[in-house]
Amino acid sequence: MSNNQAVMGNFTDVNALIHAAEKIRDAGYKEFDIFTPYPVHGLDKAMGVQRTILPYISFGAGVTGLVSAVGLMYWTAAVDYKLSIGGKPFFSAFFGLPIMFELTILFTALATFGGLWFLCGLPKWYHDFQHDEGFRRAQDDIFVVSIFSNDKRFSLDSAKNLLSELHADNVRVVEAQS
Amino acid sequence: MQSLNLSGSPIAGKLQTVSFGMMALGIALTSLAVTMGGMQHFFAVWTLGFGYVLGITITMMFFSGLQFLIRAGWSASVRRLPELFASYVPIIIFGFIPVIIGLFSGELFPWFDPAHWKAGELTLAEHQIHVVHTKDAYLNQNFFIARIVLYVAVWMLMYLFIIKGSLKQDSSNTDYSPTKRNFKIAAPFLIMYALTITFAGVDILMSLSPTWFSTMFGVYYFAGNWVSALSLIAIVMVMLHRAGHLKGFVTHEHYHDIGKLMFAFTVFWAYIAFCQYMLIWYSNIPEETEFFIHRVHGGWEILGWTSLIIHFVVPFLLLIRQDFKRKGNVLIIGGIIMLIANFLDLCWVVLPVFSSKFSMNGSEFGPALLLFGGLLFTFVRSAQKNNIVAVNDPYLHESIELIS
Repeated sequence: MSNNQAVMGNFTDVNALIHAAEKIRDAGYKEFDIFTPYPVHGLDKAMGVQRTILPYISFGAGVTGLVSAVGLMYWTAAVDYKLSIGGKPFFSAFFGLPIMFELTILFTALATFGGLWFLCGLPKWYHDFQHDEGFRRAQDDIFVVSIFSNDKRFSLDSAKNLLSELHADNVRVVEAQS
Repeated sequence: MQSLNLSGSPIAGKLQTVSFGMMALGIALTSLAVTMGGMQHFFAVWTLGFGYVLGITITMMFFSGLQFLIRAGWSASVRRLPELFASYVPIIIFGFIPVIIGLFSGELFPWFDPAHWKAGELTLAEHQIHVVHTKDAYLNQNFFIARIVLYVAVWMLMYLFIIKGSLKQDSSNTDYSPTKRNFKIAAPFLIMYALTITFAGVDILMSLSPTWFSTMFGVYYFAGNWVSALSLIAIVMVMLHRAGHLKGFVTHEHYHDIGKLMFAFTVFWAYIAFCQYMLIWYSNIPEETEFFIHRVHGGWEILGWTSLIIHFVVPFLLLIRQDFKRKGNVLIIGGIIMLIANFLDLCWVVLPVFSSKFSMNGSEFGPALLLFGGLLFTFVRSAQKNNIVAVNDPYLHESIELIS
């Protein structure tokens, strides 16, 4: 199932778009996407998008950051090279906490940013169907629903019929170009 | 006009029974405090319980005023709950009376008569008396009472304008002038709230340790109160929603948003509390560290660690997941934990003033339970008379359709 074709249709009304997303989801399609000029609330739910695993990546990185901060400070200050400064203890959770906090935040932020790029498939210089005229207008004044041919249930006719039944404008077949 | 209140509702009866139970237990424990510990112990635990419930009550008005200030759409369907709690403001302010009696008895505030103040074997040393006397310009009885009068005046004005204005909007869905007026006056009232809660915290709780210096105490008091107020709002919101009273107004999206605020501000509390501790620990200046040295020795450290764990670690792990914030049970359990934690935290601030060794016998909870029961009772009474949703709020539709 290569992703060499897509059936696209345009929508101008948000409510019709959400209705269409629910219908396509209920028809069993997994490989479809919707291009919108702005974030549409509730669309991910209507499309049946699974919740991301990004929070687990962030949490794991945060714990790693915390552990490495404690480990680094403890090992350097209290084990490897003991240095008494002003009679303070070699290691204490109190003065160490800002570092633990900062390193937790740093690891979490970097992992979240990197994880987001990875999960979104970024950087992507060119989307296979970007040459379509609707793709450009989806950044301006319309919503474009696109069903891709790598979906298990994909057939040109059924996808076209489904979009037509949902009153999409300008239902068309777009060939991939990569 | 749509009418939505709790009159004749079974949940109102249940909540009222709980509040009566709390008040009865509170009175019993308070009398225990008087008989076992004497008047000084009574004044101490009264100040503790009063500082706790007063902060929550006043902060309920902050929630409402804040929503008006920022024209929040999401909160329109839950904003009435803190406003109903705020109807306790005209009652709780009488709790200042025992504090003032305690002041004049000379047993409560060491700065009233530092040379003669004593609690058990604790007295002020000569250099401490000197430090306290350098603060006489602020810590003297006349100015103290004048400040209390000022706080009460500000809070009553805030209650009469912001809360009453919001309630007044319920009677008309064409004339939005009460809401518009609240938009305008919210900002000055919130500035006054920030100042009064800071100085009230310093006056009632921090001045029990008059030799201490800390510029963080006001925001520390606020942070604890704000977490407690949000927890209490979350608890009653979930309970009323389950009893079917907020159907069609409150959804799990509101659970989620309140949960997010609880999560954020429990972290904020920990941040503030730790900032205060660490800076003093690190700079190691005697007049600052004295406060904490009392509180990490003699058994009091158990209270400090407990409050750190159940005020920060447990709620942090409990509320970090998105789906957990949307569960009513998690909000109720987390809310109760945080309410208890904030009380223990204030115990840790207040009680070591009067005893160098850890000693708690349960009577410390008396006034807090009594006043908290009063808060709950007033909430139910107010909810039976007023709508529990701001039915004519211009943002109500936006709030009902909220997706967070």
